[in-house]
Amino acid sequence: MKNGFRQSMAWVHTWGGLSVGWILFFVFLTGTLGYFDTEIDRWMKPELPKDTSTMEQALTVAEARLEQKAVGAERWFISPPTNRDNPNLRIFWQMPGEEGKRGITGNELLDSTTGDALSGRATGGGQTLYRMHYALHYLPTDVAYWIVGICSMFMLVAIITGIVIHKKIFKDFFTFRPQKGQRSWLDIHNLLSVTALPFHFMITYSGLIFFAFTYMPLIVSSSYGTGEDAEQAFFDELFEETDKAERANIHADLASLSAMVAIAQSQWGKDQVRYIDIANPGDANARVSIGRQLDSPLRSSPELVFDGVSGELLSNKAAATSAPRTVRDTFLGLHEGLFANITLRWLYFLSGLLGTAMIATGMILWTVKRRPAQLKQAKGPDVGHRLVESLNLGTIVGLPIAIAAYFWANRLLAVDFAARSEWEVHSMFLVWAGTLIYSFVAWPVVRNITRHWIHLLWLAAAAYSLLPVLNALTTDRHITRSLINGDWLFAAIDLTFLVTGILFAFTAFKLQHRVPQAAPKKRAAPAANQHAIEPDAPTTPQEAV
Amino acid sequence: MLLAFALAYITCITLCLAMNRHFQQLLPNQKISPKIAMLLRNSGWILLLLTIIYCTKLVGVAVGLVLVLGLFSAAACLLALLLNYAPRVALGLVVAAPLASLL
Repeated sequence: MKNGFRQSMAWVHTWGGLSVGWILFFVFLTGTLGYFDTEIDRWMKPELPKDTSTMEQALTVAEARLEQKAVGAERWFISPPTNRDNPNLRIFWQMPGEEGKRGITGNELLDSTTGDALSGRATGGGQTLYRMHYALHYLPTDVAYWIVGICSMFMLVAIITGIVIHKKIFKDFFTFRPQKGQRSWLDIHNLLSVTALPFHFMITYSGLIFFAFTYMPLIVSSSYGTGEDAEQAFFDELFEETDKAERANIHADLASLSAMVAIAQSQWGKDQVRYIDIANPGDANARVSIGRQLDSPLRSSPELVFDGVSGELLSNKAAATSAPRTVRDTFLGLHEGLFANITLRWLYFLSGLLGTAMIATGMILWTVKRRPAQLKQAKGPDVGHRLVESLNLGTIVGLPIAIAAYFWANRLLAVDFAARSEWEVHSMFLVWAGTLIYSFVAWPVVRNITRHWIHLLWLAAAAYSLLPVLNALTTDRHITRSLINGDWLFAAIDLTFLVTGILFAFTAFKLQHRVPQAAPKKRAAPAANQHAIEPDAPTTPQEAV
Repeated sequence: MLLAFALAYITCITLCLAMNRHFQQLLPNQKISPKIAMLLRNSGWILLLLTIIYCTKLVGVAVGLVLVLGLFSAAACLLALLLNYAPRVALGLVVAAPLASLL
């Protein structure tokens, strides 16, 4: 450490952050959209009406369907449409497996008024976007987990070294000095990092905890040995249900589920039933566990356990079990934010955008800092510098355009096209590849890369602001109708697209109108005025939020 | 919920006013005395405590703490932008935000 501790940390922060920045940007942006995953699901299946059934109807429909599909099952699981996470009735079943193996499982979404399986267009929905933030796409999941995991570890290191190298966290807490080139980029990067620091730390750390067993397998191996069987033994022990009822293999009818649900509702209040979990349905040893809505970061629900045949309330199970388990569940719960009501959900979304913008500004800062010296070189900027410039543009503006393309594909692909949900995703990645190629066209002309930024920003502006129009043309849920009907979900998503589009347009406009002033100075005095040669790179829309 | 945001915002602006540079941005024609700065800083920390207490009363300790952090991220970023682009709006919100929450 010949340069001292802080300089070493600055080096780690700069290069560690840069090397994985683009993947982190992808992870943060898709993960942030995940806070509205079910809302996006519904937007992407516009044919489906809003579920307005009662609990009674949902239970009748679910039980009838399960009896039809899964007699003699080991487990039935009913999620009634009582929360945002479950806008439609969902059933799941698991048949008994052979010796020690998991049986066949199935699940269905049902219309809880008619009892039909829910149709609607095939779509990846918000779930596919959400899944990408930890499993990426086109890659085996194990490989993806490792890639995301290593990037997250870099992120954690970047957060900690960032705190170390930030000299005036409190004094500069509210500081943002615009129009000052590199200084402004550092200010905004600091502002985005510091104001949402607890979120950034929590989300990165808890993200790693999700896959702790994947990332640190040797800790398990040291007690359980290696190999798949050992792993299975560990998980069986870890997640074992303590009071699992053994099958009696004597037939007995299931008692009334609605009576049990009524008991739960009288204890917790209406709409507080999150799920009904039935072990050994149709057997003399049936158990019904009714889970409560999540109302805190702890990721598990308190349960009421009933005897499935007599309908008698057996026990009241607390959500928290052991202390380590509680810590883990709390971190995972904080990460997922399933407990968050609408206000808190928007705050989660905003914090996610701040994190995305933090990554973007960090990477832009890297180029802004080096661009003047690079442009002065006789043979032009280095390959590495050009690479970063192009990847930045193709990712920071390219990825949002690609995500818009995902939504466009949802509305434009033929509804009966067999591979449509795959092609939604292909469209997204093809468009992303397109924007990256366009950014690499800027390769020989780094000096004019601002022009390419402007083009892509306008494209993003058009892609987002026209989405509500496309929605109006291709479905019967146009924005005025959503507003009149009080369908806030559709209205809010359309409005969010519109606002995103406007922010992109605003950024493009601002950038466009700065270029003519900066350009002549570039040629006149490249060395004299450091700030003049930095084309004011644009703010990302996330910052403007 | 809006009152909680108003509290977080007022906390931020109070702490902000206690700093010379930001005081100049918000009230360019006035000078801040060390005594006032101290007073503002202390009130800011007390307001911070009050915001935390209010949020935990509102939605419970566990969710309340998450809410506080989210609100402060939003309030601090908003304030930092307003300081530069619309300092008068920044001051106006001190009155407007709590009023809006009463509506």
